[in-house]
Amino acid sequence: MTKMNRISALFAQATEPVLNVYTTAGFPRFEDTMTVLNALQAGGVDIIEVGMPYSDPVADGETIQLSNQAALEQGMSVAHLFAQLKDMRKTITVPVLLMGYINPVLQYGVEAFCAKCAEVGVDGLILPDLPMVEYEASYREIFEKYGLYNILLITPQTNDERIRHIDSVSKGFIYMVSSASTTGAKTGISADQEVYFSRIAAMNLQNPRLIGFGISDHESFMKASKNASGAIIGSAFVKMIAQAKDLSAEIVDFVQAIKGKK
Amino acid sequence: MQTEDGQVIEPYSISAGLDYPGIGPMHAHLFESGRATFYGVTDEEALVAAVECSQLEGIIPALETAHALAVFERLQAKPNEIVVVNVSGRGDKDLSTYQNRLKLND
Repeated sequence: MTKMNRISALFAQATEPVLNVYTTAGFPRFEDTMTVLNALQAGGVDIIEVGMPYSDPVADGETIQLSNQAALEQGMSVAHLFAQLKDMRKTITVPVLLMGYINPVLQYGVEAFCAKCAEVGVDGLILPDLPMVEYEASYREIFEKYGLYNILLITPQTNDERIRHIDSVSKGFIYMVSSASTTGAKTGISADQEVYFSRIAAMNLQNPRLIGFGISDHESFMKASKNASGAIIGSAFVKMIAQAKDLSAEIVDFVQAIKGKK
Repeated sequence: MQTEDGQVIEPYSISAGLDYPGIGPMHAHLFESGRATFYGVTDEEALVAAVECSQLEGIIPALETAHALAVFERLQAKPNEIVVVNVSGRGDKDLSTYQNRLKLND
């Protein structure tokens, strides 16, 4: 009997807003990946998203783009990342997602990639440039064979019919992009965004939702969590670790501040 | 054009239209299915072909087109064979490149 996917288990048990933090693999330094993951868990993060650096990260704004570039310059690759995550599950118990773009996955070999993910204990994938129609036609069976959830995204522009279709093929959670833009820490959530959040909440979708893009602090985290199960923070975190003097300690502080536990 | 890891490689071409790392699905399919042969052409070969076309035909080709015209050297077509060339564009937009690279103002 297969164990329940960690993402499903998390949402089934969560009583507080869920915090998902994104970090770019091999950033700030090539060897920092596991240090960052361990510190995130120690700080109290609920889900970790590990970004696979790519030359052309089209969904990402400047902060994450620069972190991708820095990691690539230091030699990060899919193969190296899997090597770094080899013993991840000896210390990390929270759900872990890999986020990236489809080309490096295609080059690695989709089945080989999924097999490796299952081997190191990755629970799901976020691939913004893998069209849903292609996923359903060519890759869904492979992902399901290895117990990997494919997290799909919706934006303020996605129509109701498509949202419902996404809900019907989704597992784990739905990634709600907060605005039609790229990633990047913003100065708060607008009234228009709150309207969008409540509109989607009123659809009573089967899957929990996490709101991402533009979330940067405790206030925006709590605002997003009013109309969803939680939120995702990326750029604000990457900006912080780029400058951190004491990586682990500052990561723990950051997470606790977002959760309002400081 | 990509690394083994799937990272996009920075391309180069004298022509803007070919200075791009991606390829359309039709061309990719023609390559994969073996129905087409692909030739590499240098900047210099393209420039020589552009001048030849201009002088023989009175047509100044676009730099992109000049790459296709440069293939005649390698094709070694016989007089009774028909060769169709897609003259994809005019060279008006490339005049300053032609002037600079062919040193026409010296």
